[in-house]
Amino acid sequence: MPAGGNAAGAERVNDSLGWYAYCVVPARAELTLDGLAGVDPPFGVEVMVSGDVAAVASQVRLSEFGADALKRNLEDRAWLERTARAHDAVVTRALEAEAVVPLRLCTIFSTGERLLAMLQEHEASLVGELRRVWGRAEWAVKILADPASAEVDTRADLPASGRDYLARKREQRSAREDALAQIDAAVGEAHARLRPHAVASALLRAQNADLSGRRGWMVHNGAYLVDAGRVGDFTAAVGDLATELRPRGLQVELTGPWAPYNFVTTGGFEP
Amino acid sequence: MTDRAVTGHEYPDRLPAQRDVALVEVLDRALGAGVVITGDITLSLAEIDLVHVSLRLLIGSEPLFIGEQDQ
Repeated sequence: MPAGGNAAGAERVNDSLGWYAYCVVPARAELTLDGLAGVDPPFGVEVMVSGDVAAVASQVRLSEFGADALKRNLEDRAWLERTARAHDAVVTRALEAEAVVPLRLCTIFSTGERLLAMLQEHEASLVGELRRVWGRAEWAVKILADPASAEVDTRADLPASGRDYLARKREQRSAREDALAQIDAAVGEAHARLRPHAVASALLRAQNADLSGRRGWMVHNGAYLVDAGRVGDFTAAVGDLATELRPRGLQVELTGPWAPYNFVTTGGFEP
Repeated sequence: MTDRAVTGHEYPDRLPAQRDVALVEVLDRALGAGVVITGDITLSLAEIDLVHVSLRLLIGSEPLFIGEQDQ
């Protein structure tokens, strides 16, 4: 039953509604969804069961989430941010279930019947995905390096000659290569130490610095699929790593738990 | 070390549960990962691939790694 009513005080034309699916969970999952806002604020979040699987879903106004509206809204950075954060909030809440298969942003159906038909059609594949992530969540570990640590200018005085200038350039390049090699080695070690605590890992591309506002190089962006029972060991290993790498000018960041976005198939399913 | 672990149990009020994580983290996942199942609404967006939206936002610097998965 959709919670909430019309926008306060506003007279509304009857707005067509669709169904937005966030993720798939086992049919018998027990989730606390009361009070959780959906991607379209007037509507809350519900569970639609079909056989052994269920979709966590919300109604959405097609004036915001229909085909034409999406073309417009996906280009609107503020809309995209609100929607993506609301989407992730629901998917993360679904971690209360034993397994969560996150769906890509904006998986939308014109009717509840079509959503249920999708679940029925793909039930076997979805059960397979749920099994692979059962009792597991994704944790992200990033390592950032200070670019200044790789630029070493060893002398303060001006070069005495052309040859001197060239010699210094070679030294600088050599020092830089050493610094980069050390960073590379540290990252390799870090991943090798974390990997055994996880069921699987994925190396992700470095995040766009303009978007993240970070300074420094992201030299490692790893996603780790960790059993609930191993989270303590995993986070302890990350903590140890952070302590060891800090004096070497490398910063370690941990975020999680995330639903296993990077450990489910990103392709479509076979019909 | 910054530990930003949060669970879904921390948001009792009827508000979008905003975690203190960077938008780029959320977009990388919600737009760039997760299972792709075409709903009939999203199917009609044939000209707009959601990944293109994400790439417009996310592309800027050369990626240091190409995503790879090991099991």
